[in-house]
Amino acid sequence: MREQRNRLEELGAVAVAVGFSPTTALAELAEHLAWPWPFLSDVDRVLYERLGLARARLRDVYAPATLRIYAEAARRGEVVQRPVEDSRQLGGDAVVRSGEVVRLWRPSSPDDRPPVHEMLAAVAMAATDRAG
Amino acid sequence: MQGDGGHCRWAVRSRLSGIEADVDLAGIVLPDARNGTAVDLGAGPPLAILSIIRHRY
Repeated sequence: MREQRNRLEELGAVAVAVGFSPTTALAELAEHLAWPWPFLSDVDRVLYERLGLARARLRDVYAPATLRIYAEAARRGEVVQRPVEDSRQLGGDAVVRSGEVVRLWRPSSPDDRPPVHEMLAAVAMAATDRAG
Repeated sequence: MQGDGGHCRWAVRSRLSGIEADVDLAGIVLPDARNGTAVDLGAGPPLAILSIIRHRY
């Protein structure tokens, strides 16, 4: 994490997190993660819509493997909480240069996120294009 | 081409999960959850990764 953060900062970039929860909840999450950059709240999902981030199918959210994990947790006596928000809304990742998204990852399922090295490579390319 | 009123123009779909894109973030101003500071995504930052999360739980 530290190495990746350093690489990002070498490129003159930051990582901005965005969620659709209210600010109070996201502030707690930002503190929990010790997120060093802005953590934005988009309760109206304006950014989600602009980027075309879809809602997953129920069978993708509650896939058999996921249900098995919940069942095993319940067997261990752990409290399995009901979701309090839209569990079907998918996230995504994007590289932004001067207010414009130049590369975008839109997952088709909840567990489909790009590798960090791929995003860092895209940031490096965007930085080069900016310099050029 | 997809989009909402011309804001989005998707270009070349790569063989990986990422796609080249040309999406203007003008007009999207969101509060920082920790201090309420309004961040105008259309005006900056100059270079950033947006990590857009799902629900919290």
